[in-house]
Order: sequence, then structure tokens, then C-alpha cells
Amino acid sequence: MNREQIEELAALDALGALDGDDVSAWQKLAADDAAAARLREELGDIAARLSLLAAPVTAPDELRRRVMDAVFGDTTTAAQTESGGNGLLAWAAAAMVALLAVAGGKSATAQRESVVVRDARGEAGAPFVALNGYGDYARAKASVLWDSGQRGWWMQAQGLPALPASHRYRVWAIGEGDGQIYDCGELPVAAGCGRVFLHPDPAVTSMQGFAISIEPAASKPATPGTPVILITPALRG
Amino acid sequence: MSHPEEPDDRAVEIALMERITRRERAAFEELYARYVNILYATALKFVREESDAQDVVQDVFIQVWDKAKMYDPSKGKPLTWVLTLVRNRSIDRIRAIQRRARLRDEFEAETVTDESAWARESLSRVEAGEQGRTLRAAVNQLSPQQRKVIELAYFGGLTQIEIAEKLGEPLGTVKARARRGLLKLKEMIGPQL
Repeated sequence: MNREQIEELAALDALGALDGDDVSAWQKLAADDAAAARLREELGDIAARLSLLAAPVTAPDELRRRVMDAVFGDTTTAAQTESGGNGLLAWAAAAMVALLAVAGGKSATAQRESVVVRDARGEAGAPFVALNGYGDYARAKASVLWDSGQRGWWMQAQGLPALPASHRYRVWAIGEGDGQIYDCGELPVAAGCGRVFLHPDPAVTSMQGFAISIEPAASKPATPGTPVILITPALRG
Repeated sequence: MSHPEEPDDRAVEIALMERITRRERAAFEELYARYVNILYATALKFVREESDAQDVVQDVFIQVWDKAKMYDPSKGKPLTWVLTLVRNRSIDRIRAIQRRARLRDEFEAETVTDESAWARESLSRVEAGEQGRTLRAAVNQLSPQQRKVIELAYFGGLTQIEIAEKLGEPLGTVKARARRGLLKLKEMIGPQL
């Protein structure tokens, strides 16, 4: 490969336009050739500086609150972060998640009739169902505990990004065996944390898992209409 | 109005990245303050919608916090790495919401004249920072064909093959224009930026 070809690959890599066989060829070259690696860095800096052509703007204060809330769970209200629904829908769609994949899911039920929940945080060693976030919501976590006194579940979640006023977090329970999905209502969230008592059906005391999704505030869907962002690990598709 | 921060202190920012890998919130907040305006402006240039741009920047800062260890100083400055994250995330967003066709059309409309709207838009911002002015002057020195290839690649997210198909030019021509264009920018602005 001559110098001109190396420069072509470096330029196209810097612009993010490499494809086909050139990708692997360039990766190997940049790994083995110090001069090529240096050229990649130099042209990468030049390409990145194209961003300086963007019109000067000042980021809104609201953005700082959103970021700090998402990263550290700082106090943020929905009203402070209202930014319209269209952006959120795309944001939720970008989570790249699987919708409820309950078929064949291994039971994750950990509820015990003997457990009386006094505090949703639970005691060390207390049985609970853990929910993990994934994709863009990997920082979010939730746990669910059975409250035999009230015949329902306490859910406590943390690390949830603030939502625009147009959307809400919604909780779902997945029935044991038949995989039926129960709408458990909204999960109110403040400062990244939410706590809610779930009683999807008085007759049902055994669930194989739970999930949290983001839904339009005005709707009351029968099944999750937007991607699920937290789910019991055993149920994740 | 001055251009948003144009951080150029590589050593300081590498140190900030190292502190972020140690989960130091103060370092993250300082990096946020340094970068947020340029990242937001960049995202806005890609996605056009303020709410989308905010989502992109938020996602990128989360990525910085969670994946700071992936930053490799030997491959470039922290700002370069973060801007690449913004670009990639923005392009993903554009693709996800299927606005790419509209973006292409806009680029097409913008580049029918010798002086692209890209440069015109930027030149109208006479109060932009020194680096921005230097860069715009350099961009105006490129041929329209070189500018177009760079626009379609960097801001349009098209690959070399897609650019060749769109322009109806041989792949080799696209490669050559990208090479000449970026090397010319490097020659004109490399020592100054």
C-alpha cells in the first residue's frame, strides 16, 4: 500500500466513511504502522474540529439537570425537564431493547408468604425480585418485594432518568405460568427514584417477573407500547 | 456572543478523563462545563431538533461517565473522542427516526452553488470564536467537490460507497477528494488548532 492509499484510508476513517474491506485493512495498518496511527490521530482531530463550524449556541440549563440526574440521580422534576414528546419517543426507541419475552422464561418468582415488608429496601438476605436496566438504561435498577399483609408487591427503583411531562414510567407484572401481562400502573419518579405498591390482581400472588416501560402519560395501554427498559433478568429476550 | 468553549488543553482534559475513570464527580462536572456547549452545538447541527440534540448530549455524557476507560489518549484528544461519540450517536438518531433522506435533500440543496450553505451558514456567524473563523476560512479554500464529500461523510453519515453512489462518481474519486480535502485542512489549520 503506497502513501497515497494510506492517506485515503486515514481521511475516510477520520470522516467515519470507511466501509467494506477497507475497514479491516485500515485497522490492521493503523495497529502495525506507527506513521499510519499518527496520521489517523492527526486527521481525526481535524475531522472532529469540523464541529466548530456548528453555529455557536449555549446549551440550556435544563440539559445540565438532565445529565446530572441521569448520571448521579440528582434531584430533577419532570417539569424542569420537559422537552416534548417526539424527542422522547426516539430516545426510548434508541434503547434497543426487546419487548417482553416471556415465552419459556424461567420463573424468577421469589415471593414468600412469610415476608412482611416494612421497608421496600428490604433486609439483607430478604427474598426479592431484581430488575435490571439495559442499553441506555443500564444504570437503572429496581427490586420488588412481596408484602403478604397487603397481598401485593412493593417496587422500588432507582437511577431512572427524568422524563418529559408527556411521558411516564409504567410497571408491568408477568404472571406465573401463562405469562399473562398485568398493567400495574404508573411508577411515580422523583430524583431518579420511584416507589409504588403493586396489586395487579388480588387473586394472583405469584409472578414470574416484572418490567418497567416508558409510556405516553395520557394513555393506559393494555400491553407495553414502548420498549421495556427494566425487566427481571430471566425474562429478557 | 462568543463560540462555546473550545477546549484545547489536552493534558488537563486527559487528567480529567483519568479522574472520571476513578468516578470523581467533580472531574465529570468540570468536563461537562468545558464541553457541553460545543457538544450541544454539534449535536444540533446533526439532528436539527433541540430535544433530539439534548437527548444525544445526555446519552454521550452518560457514555463518558460509564465508559471513560475506553478513551485511549494515544488515539487522540479527549475532545476528539467525545465529538466522535456525539457524531455517531447523532447519526444513529437520524437513522432511527428516518430523517436521513431529508438530510440528504438538504445537503443536496445546499451544495448546488459553489459556496455551500455549510460555509455560508458558518460565515454568517461573524461572532464565532477564533478557531471557528480559522476553520471556516480553510473550508472555503476547498474545492466544492471536496467540501461536498466531506459534508456527506462527516455530517451526513454516508460511507464512501454511499457517497460514490449518491454523486455518481467512481469510488476512487471519492477517496481522492476526501484525502485531498482533509490534508488541505490539516495543512491550513493543523498547526493552529
